[in-house]
Amino acid sequence: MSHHSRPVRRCRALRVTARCETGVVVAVLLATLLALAGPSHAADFPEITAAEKAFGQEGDAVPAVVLFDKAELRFGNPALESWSELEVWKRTKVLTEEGVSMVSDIAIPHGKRMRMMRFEARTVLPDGTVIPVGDDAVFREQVSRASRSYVTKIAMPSVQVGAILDVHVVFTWPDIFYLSPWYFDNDVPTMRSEFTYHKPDSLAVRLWSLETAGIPIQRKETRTVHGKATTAWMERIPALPKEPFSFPASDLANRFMVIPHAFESSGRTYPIFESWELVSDLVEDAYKRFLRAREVKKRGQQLAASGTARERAETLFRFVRDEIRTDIDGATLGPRDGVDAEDVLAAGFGTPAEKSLVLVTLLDGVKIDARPAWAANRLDGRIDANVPNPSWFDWPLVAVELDGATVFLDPSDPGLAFGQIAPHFEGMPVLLIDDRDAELVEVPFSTADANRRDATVDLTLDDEGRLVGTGRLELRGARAWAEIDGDDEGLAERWRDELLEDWPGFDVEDLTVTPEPDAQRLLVEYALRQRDEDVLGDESSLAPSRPLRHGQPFTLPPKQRLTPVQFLHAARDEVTTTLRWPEGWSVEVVPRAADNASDAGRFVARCEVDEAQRQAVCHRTFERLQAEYLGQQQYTLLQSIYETAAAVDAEPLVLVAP
Amino acid sequence: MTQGLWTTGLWATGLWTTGLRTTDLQTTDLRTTGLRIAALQLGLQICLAPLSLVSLGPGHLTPSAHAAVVDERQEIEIFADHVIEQRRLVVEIEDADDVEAWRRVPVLVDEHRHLEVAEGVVVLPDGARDRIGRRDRDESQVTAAGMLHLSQRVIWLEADELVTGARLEIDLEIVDRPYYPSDVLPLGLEDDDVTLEVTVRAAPEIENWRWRLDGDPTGLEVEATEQVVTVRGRLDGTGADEPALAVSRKPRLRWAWRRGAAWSQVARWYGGVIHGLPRDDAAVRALAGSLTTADAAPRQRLDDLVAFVRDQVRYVAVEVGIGGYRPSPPHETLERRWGDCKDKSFLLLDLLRAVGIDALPVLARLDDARPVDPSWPDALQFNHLIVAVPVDGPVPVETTPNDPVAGGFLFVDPTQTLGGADYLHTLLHGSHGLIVRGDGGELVRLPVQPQLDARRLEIELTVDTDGQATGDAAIHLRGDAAVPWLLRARNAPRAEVDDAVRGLLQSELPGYRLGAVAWRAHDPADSSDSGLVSSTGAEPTATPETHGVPTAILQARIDGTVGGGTWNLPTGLRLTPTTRELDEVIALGDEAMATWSPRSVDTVVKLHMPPGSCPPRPRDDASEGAAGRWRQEVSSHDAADGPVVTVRRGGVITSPWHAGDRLADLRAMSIEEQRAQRRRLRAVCP
Repeated sequence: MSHHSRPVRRCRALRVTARCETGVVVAVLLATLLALAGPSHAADFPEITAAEKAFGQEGDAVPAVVLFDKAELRFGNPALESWSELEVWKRTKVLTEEGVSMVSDIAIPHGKRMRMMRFEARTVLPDGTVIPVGDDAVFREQVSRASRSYVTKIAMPSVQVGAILDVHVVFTWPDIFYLSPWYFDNDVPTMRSEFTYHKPDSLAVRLWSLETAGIPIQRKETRTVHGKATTAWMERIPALPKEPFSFPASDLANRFMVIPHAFESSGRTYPIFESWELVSDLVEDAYKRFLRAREVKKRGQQLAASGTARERAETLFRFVRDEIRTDIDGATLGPRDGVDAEDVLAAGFGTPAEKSLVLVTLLDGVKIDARPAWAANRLDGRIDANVPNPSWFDWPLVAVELDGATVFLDPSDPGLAFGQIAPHFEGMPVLLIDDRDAELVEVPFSTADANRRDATVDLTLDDEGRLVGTGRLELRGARAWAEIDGDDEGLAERWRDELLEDWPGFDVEDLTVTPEPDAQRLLVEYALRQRDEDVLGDESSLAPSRPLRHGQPFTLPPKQRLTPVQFLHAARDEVTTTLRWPEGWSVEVVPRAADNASDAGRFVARCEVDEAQRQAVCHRTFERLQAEYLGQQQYTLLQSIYETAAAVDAEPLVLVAP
Repeated sequence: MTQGLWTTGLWATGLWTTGLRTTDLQTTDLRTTGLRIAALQLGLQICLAPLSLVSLGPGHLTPSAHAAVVDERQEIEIFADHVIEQRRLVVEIEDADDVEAWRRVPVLVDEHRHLEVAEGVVVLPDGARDRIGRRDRDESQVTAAGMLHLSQRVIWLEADELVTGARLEIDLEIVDRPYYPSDVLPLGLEDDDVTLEVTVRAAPEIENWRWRLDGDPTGLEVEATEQVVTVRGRLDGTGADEPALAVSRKPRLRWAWRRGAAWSQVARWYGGVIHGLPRDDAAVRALAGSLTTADAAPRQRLDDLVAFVRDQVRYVAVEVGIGGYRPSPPHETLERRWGDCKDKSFLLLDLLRAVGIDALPVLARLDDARPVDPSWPDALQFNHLIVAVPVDGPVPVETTPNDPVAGGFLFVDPTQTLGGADYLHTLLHGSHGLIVRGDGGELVRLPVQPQLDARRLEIELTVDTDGQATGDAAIHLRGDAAVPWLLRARNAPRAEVDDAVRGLLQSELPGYRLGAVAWRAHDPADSSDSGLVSSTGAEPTATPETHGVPTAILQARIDGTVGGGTWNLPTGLRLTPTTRELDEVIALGDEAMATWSPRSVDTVVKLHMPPGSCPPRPRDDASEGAAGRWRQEVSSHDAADGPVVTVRRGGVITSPWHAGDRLADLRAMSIEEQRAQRRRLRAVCP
């Protein structure tokens, strides 16, 4: 396979602006390059070995197995402005009928930066017959003409049990940045997965790897004509486990990554991702251009003319959050080409990065120290703060210095208050962008008490045996954030559906839903009336936990649980249910009391019945103290709390008429 | 992060994804009602293009709108060989949500449908005009769940300058050369208030012109002359308010021309579409010969060939132009071993023909939004294709009373991946299909067999004097209900299925602790499948049936608190929708129709009480009508170690669509079931 060396515009001194990061395409080359893409039937796939032919004949129960998964990354030479190339070979064997549908249809996204230069595929039948992919089975679709993004879809031919599928793809791109880890694992077992990178001597790289399956990642290094080739590989890797509330696959998988560190040109060394300052330097130009907007600074002075620094910052934050619409499709860390803060302000519309930068500019206008920051989503996997890498991060924030402390702001999410960030950024580092003094700040997890739901229900049984009353639910912190999306009409509709689900047999009336993003609060108030057909006349039962029950998602015995548990956040729920009944009725059954407390959390339930006052008051507390539970012991404690809650929640308070 | 078999190493780049499969099963809620969800769980696909054609109608210039005020005018002129659609849309942008909703306006185009004119302007609050030019367009391919590739594309008109207080004006002209001479236009927009005027005009030479306004006509006026119909009026954006179970009452204007208003005309049209398709290829005939034996009974031959097409030819949908209707030549489908519903059906037809069985293609509808309307013959009513095997043809095919037979045909859907010829998934039950014959066709009602979507929960508990109970619970699933479990059992690691089984049993038995779990999922039609069992190797005590209907049994040891003199039993599986859901449909008026598919659901709870316990009073509650029947029986008998109390609860639904008396029957059943589930069982001592 040839190494593509293309004369393209290289990002200045490897200072990759956001524009460069998204890819700069030399138009004149595009047609030529794209014409090269497409199926070719003359692929020189590695010969199928006797062991591969025989694999699975012992009746393995898995639907398919990856026989090998191999990638070769060839770095371009920055000094020569040559392109980088990633070549992937994958061989899969279908072992059951189900495996046929699992592996036969393939979609490969590609675009103007990461171009698919070659694609070859074939099916090899158990008798050795080779069936190439026909032209009528390859569909190149445009995802967006404007962004020149595509997806190539392939329907593999004649796939059957025992067949081997071979796929070979080559991507190229006009710089040296391939900053994602290679994941060795698959959904099905993998016999061998390997990643090789070839680099010129002029390029220095840093290696990073993580083993999670107890199988060592092996490495070997060889000299090549122009530099060095390093191969990392693993063998006999089990399929990735899938368990409820598990960590993301990117945390569970074995990984290997190679990060460009520095390169030499004309006897001089240019550092690349040596430090977080150099990572910050990637966006320096684009950000500074944005932050220069004088008119925007003036606007900041007009909007926040008075008040304390905090008050002025809050005013400007709310302005950007509420008055500039968010283009969520444009969620990258850099602003769009040719767009500056004044444009965003004038259009009332911007990407999250642009909104953050506008806020920084407005704050600068009122002399409040603020700078852009990048956040990493915990649900996409952990990052290693010791390894400077811009691709760890995917969301822009603003870091403001107020009263001697750093406050993070996210003006692109309508559900967030001043100083609040989404819970999936908690427990992760935030990078404070600065090309001279970049800083990583760990965002602590919020407490259970910060993310609480408090419910009160007040019901009275009338003489006919119908329950009538009111309910109130207050959500705070991340619980409120999860609900508030700026669509208040839709919010009320969703809550109506939710309450009807929570209260089967009841009509829900007089519903009011009050989102208060600035107070990190959502208030839901409603009236309940039992429906005619649900009134039994001589019996009435009610589960006191009704508005906030949990169920038991952790049914897997602790010894069988393979992965740690991850929630979005710690949480606390309180329910108080008051039930009154008329003369002549009596309590037949009272739910049992329970108290299960541990390091993992707590479940407490109790009902107090006052026959004389014909009133029962039930309290229930459910507390999950952590966002993450590691290890079998933690899982056992967590499971126990859920189990106690599920058992008690199933017990109703029962009233009967004589 | 998307993760699939082909995503290794390239996950994070987003370069490599699968996700084309739609049978990615979540824990199956036994109360799942959505046919569409069920179809996906069954691995079925809507694959005949007419659904696409409907979506290509001029009513589909509909972004996800909010509460804008829209003035919409359309003129549709029908000529002998083409249709010109002109549309003018004026939208007053009232708030930020409107801006978001109307910033990108989609226009669907396809091989036969071209955008000739697309002009737009944003009139800003200060009166300035910003033109939406050619450079403000984007274009993307349409993708749909379960479809590998469609020729449909969306042209996006992008109004980046849109702000609150602005007015958006769009003018479009589309030239359409429809494959079938009819169309349907949904009137109004999902959430917007619309003032509309739609005129459909057939040129004088156009024959068989007809039109009809379906749904709720409130707010609309109709003016019709010989070849022209105009509908004008004002519609509130009420789309989001339609109840989940209701067949939509949103107004729709239908029209058709050229072909006569008879189903035979539709069948003849389809006969023309498939005319010239290479058939009876030698490779197909040879395969048929190898899959069956000469001395096999016709039914055995049918079973063998159905098994091949279901198992060995995977579903992949590719629709390019007329390819949305016309199948691939069967020998090509055989060679590549993939195809959509048309391809699989025609392969089966040719295989059957090769062994002497002359079966027929059937246009069908796989959709829970509305049933086929027998009074409006139109190809656009169908989106699926299956096979009808004549039972008493020249080669009689043996059937049993449990086979999906109606009107002298055994109906087979080769797109199903599981089961034998005696298992037709219930999504088609009770709906209409058009049998396509050389000389025309016949609209038939497909059979209804609730036992092909059956769930049965069996609980047997021994109760001690403290009200603590220990025993077994088992959920028996059959047909549609079993398929998701069977697919899951085949695709997922055993431990993962174990956990899903626990999850389901736990959700049906709240408050009970689960002990050891056993499960078995079985497709009797697959001779290579001796049954899949739980990771512990434990098998349920019950035995699955041996006919060609998929089954699954999920079982666990359980313990919990039942209580003393009054017993807190699991509510059991639910047969009917809630009365609230039904009342929402009924409130729509006399024409209201609910969708609730045929099914069979039973719960049996057996309690072994401590000696000397008092049993409950026997009860027998029932509700029966045109929609089906529901019954609860409470009985007890004395055994050597104490009384045994048995509660049986359940019934069947016998139709997919419920209107008028049938809807009232369904509600009556629902009330009985709801009250029975709420009432506790009480000991009555003499």
